Amino acid sequence: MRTALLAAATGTLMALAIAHAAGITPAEEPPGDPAVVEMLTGIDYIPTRGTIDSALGADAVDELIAIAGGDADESADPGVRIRAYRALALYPGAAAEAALRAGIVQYAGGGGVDTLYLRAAVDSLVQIAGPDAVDDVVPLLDHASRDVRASAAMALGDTGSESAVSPLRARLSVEQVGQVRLAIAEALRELE
Amino acid sequence: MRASSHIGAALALLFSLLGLLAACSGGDRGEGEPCSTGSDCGSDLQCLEGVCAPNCQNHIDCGDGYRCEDGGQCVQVESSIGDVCMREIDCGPGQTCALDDRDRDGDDFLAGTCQVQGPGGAIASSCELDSECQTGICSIGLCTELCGQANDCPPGLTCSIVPRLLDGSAPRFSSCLPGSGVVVDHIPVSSASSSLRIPVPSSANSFALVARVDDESQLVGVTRLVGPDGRVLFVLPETVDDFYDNDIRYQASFGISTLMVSNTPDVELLVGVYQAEVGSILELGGPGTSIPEVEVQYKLDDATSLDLHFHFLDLADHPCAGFFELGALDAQSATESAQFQSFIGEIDGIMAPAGIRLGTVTYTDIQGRGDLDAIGRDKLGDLLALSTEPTGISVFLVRSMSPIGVLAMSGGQPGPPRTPGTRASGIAVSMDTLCYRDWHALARITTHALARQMGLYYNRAPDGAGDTISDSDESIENLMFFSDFGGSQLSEGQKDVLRRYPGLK
Repeated sequence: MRTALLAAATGTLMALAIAHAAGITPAEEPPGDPAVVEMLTGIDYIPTRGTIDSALGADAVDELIAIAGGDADESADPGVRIRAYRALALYPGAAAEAALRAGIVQYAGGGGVDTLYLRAAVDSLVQIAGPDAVDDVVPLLDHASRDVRASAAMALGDTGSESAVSPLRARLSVEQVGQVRLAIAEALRELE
Repeated sequence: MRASSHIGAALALLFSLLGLLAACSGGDRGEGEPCSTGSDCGSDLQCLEGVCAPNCQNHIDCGDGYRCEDGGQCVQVESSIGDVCMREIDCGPGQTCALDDRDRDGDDFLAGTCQVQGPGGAIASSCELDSECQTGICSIGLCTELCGQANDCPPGLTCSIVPRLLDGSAPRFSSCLPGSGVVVDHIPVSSASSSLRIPVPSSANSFALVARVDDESQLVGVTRLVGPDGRVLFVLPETVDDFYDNDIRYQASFGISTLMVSNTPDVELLVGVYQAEVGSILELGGPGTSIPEVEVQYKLDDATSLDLHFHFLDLADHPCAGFFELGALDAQSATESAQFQSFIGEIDGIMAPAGIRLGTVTYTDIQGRGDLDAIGRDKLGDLLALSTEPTGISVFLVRSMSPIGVLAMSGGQPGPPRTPGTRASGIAVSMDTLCYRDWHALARITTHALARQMGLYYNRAPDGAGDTISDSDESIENLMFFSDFGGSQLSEGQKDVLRRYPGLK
């Protein structure tokens, strides 16, 4: 059930606000091209391929792979890397697929921000590889993180591959978390 | 009978008569006692309809057909049906100052005549038609009456200049309207595309037009807006350049949209009639088939208190729960967590330079909605529709957003003020953000999304386009900078727009 708690917050907030009245200084931007960093750190902004091409030029896919993989100046910021993984979905091809698969392998066992790299890589791989991504994603249905499991289930639904149905059903039979169960059910609806 | 008894009785009678005489001539009768004239009553009292009553402060203290004169005396108004009047208090008992249906002297200002008072709602009660009001005047959704100055109106109301919507013209008149708060006027619409006239009174700081359709696969909103001075403020854009060329920046949206006038100091709010074309629009273009529901909210004061209503999805076992001070984050722990309270304090601190302070803050858990623990844009509406609070803005803290890397989303730009339960009623913030940003940054990101919900746009769009607010710079230091590497500064114009949001109280 919903719990509603009411706080007459004015007094507390007044005191806290005084402490913060000076305003927020922007976090220090990571090294690298400021235009690239801005493009890959939008709060709710998702750059198009055209925008990325304009910023990164003809080598955009290689640049994104380098940023995502931690090999570029901009890689110092995890937020930039996450969006670089995400942006690789706009560049179908062997290079992007390989980089995404490498990312999945690298971060499959991690927690914290690693789960975000992992999920970003999974989403992008499914978008560009479709059914060929099923084998890469299925093991993640058993990941320790419920968010990764839910993302994996949704991604498998997006593959459109019948081969994803059986592992999804198997996971559903043991899954306890509502968030994941609902994600699996939605994926199965897409596939069946 | 003894002589002494006769003398005693005579003295008692004499004293009684003297006492009564003293009472009549001394004017010391109390409130509610009978009287013939004002001199019968004690100080600060008057004789009103044969009873001692307190001196009046306002015409409404005297009752229908009386007015309060200097000195606090109620005086019955003598008038005849058909007499010209400028104020409600120009007409006697049982009469009302009925507004003329045409401008008789060509000064673009309407007078009235005393007429028999009708049935219907008293002043300030809700209405859609004139016939629903005692005075026969329904304006911006409220029964009103004519006035000449502020103290002609009952307490809490002020004498405002208002356009009267007549066929082919909109002469003005002075009427009593609330001096504070937000007035909501529901405008009847009978077709999928309608031309509406929005009368804006002199007491308004801003207005928001909220249009909704039941069919959420259709867009709905304003397709053209013209100001009282004939200036075209908005035309439904067909290209990105069209969008940026409009004086009022706005987009129709699926199911519900809100247009706020003004969302830039460069477009002054004028007293008069705004002409708005409102309709539903098919996703692929062309007129829609759904009939919109339309309401206009008028913000009538400078209120600057913003309520925030935090809603917590199930954040248990979040991969970055290590950044939750108490190891968990829900409605209970948020009230106990100095870290979370500091986060709220930072939001307050960012808004403070605009003169906006946080008011009531509430905390609510949303359980059993695993389908909404992590959301994409397609589920944002389902989440925001869970909002129930009529004031302020609802903030939904979700586990994650997709695509990964989206940190916050706003339901509208602006969202519909004072309208909970819609697909645009609030903002959502991803707690994934804490995996690579701190609470300090999260406060800035949350406030950025709140400001969008209140009507601000990027100070510099990712495509390089500037703000419609001319004094907004394009700096990364600005709160509305699109990147999560941004500051908290606001230009004076941005502050002004935030203060106009009708969701403030």
